[in-house]
Amino acid sequence: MGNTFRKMFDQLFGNREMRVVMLGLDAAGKTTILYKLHIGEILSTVPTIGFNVEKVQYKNVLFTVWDVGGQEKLRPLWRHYFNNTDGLIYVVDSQDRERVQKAASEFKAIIDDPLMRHSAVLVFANKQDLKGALSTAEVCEALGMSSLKNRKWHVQGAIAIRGEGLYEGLDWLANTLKSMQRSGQITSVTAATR
Amino acid sequence: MVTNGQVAKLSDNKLGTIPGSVIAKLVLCSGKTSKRLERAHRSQDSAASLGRMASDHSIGSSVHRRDSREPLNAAFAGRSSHQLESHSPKPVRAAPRSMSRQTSASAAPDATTLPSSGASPIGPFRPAQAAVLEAQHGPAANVVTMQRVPSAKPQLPRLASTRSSNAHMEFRPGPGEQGINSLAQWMAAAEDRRASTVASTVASSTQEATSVDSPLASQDGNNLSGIHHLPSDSSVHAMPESAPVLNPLRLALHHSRGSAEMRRSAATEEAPTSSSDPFLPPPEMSAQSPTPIGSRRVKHTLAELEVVSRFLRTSKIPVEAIGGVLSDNCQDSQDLLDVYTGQFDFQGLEIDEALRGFLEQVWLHGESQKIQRILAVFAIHYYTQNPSVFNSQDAATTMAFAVIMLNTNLHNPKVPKQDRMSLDAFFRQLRDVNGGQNFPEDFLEGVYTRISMREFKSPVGPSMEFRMQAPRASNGLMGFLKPDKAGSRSLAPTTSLRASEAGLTNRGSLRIPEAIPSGRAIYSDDMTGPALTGDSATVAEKSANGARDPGDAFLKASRRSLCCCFSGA
Repeated sequence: MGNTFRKMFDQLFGNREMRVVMLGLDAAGKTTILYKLHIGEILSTVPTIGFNVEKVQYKNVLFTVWDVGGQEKLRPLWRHYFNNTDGLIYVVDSQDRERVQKAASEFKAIIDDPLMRHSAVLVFANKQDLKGALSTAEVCEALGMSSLKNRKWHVQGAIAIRGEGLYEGLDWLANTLKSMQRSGQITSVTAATR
Repeated sequence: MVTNGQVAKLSDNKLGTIPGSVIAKLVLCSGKTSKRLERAHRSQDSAASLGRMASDHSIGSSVHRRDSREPLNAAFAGRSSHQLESHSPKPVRAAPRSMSRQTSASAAPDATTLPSSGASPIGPFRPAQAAVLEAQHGPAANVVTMQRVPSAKPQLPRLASTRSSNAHMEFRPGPGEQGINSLAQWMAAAEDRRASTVASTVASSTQEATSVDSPLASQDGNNLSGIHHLPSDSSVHAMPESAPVLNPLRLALHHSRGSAEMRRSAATEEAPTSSSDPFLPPPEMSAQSPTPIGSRRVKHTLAELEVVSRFLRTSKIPVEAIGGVLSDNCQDSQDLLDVYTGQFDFQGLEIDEALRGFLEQVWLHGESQKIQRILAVFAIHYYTQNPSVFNSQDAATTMAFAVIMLNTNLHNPKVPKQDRMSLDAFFRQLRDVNGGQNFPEDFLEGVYTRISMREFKSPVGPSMEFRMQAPRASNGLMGFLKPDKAGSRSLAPTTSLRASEAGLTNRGSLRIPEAIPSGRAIYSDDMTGPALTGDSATVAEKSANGARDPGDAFLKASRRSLCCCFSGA
């Protein structure tokens, strides 16, 4: 009986839409992740020219994931990308030791953006299967996660090409966002208020 | 499937001029064919030598064209039949980028007969386009203004700005189709000279060395050695002084070829090696080439890249594949993208209309960095051709991005309704972007209205596979052929890739099963900081058993389409 009520409650209030942007350097695995998360849809029509956008429903949360470039030159355009964004998924190529510093500085610029100040941060330390890959802890350190204040963050090891670790990451994101919203915390900022 | 004979013919006629890595991606995807084609490709001296041959031959010729197109023509026509085909004269535009030359009259704007290829083994050549393209040099010329023939300028025809964007995308005929006859003559001679390719290669290397040593010599009308070779082409030497816009890509292209030794080693390198990848740079070459973009070797001349661009433009290779090749993160692709983009005429078009037409020829893959690479080059060329529209090149890049973003935002069905961008939001987004200023509001409104009325569409509906991206190819395009050393990521065993084959019948957003073994990971639960221990930083257990590999899908699809493309010829 209680279970039934619970279900009804979930149906009424549990489904949420979250806007998530996915960023990361070239070849970090964003696209692979996007399509691993979103299997099953056959696109019969001519797809829209433009950035990859996918909807992924997971645990009552409907994620709209944008794969957008994080290039610094285009930072003005972030105003819209980051508008109303609840979560950030940042993908790091753990094997690419040479560029991990670049990844870190881009990451820093993103999370320091005013529009991102409330969002939850999920980092995928991707390509863990490759030889010489940075461990999750090392990625964590390289990105300077420990210095983040007042943020909800999570670093998740992943092998996107095999789909490993992705749902765990989403799991965290969904739960965190839900609990944040339930407790009245703001997760997104609207640009219009700037 | 392609037969051995066809392979040989292909290689003989066309593929010799195509950068190895591009062949690798475009053609060699098909298993056995790849090996045969590769062999055929390697066994003969490829395009570079043909260009060299042409230049070698033209020494002493009466026609002096300060232009790297001649080897292009030669390389192209010399490899196929020597038919000359006349076609309707195209009006000539002597854009600021018109090539300088010292030919006497040459720039007669109502150009006449152009050599055109005969039958192409791969796709039917549209003679007009092909020929016009021959005459068009690309934006490198925009830096070579010092010897421009002014008389050609008033003849500028303006392509009507119709709504049909295809109409804008004609190739531009260049000025001065004179010298064609002699060209045709030595084309034949060039054919005869094929046997002595190596000798001519060395010879041209020597010439090149001299002309590189004395750059000004190539501007001298009597010195013919510098005409046909890119490194000694006047445009190279003229560039640093006269370039109004320094195109980094092109600079890379030119600078990396300055050395005659490089060229020589490129020639000797043709011999097949047993162990190493034939397309990988020999160590001394990569050390020599000072490319600002990357350390990968550049071994193709502008002329060759133009042949390839033309090939891509006129063949039946699907736009998706072209987009895939051009947006790839390797030097060959970037050079090629630059040359290819330079063949479009964006003059006088609004940026969104120019982009619309361009993207009908180059499918834009959805991955942000691929979009970035293509749009950056597009913006360079758009800005070069329309310098008055934007205050800076960065503004053009940003605007191109904003256009694509707006298109995604307004027309992608997956974007929630409430997220659709309003005109106000569009204004807001582009505030202060135009070199510190705002774009004119009516300009932005025009862009917004056109995009909201009509979304960007590719002429062909790509299959699902093409929407997916290839995995990282660590050796550039060659990653498709060879798994990278770290693992077999690039060439994973073929699995069933189509959603239908995999038994996936869901439509719409997929509900992921919740019962997934949770892996361990590290995270901070709160602001107190992370509780990070070394052993907690492990990779999660395998979760979902997704069977699809987007890279494979792409490979398969392009293989299929390319096989069709070649067997149909």
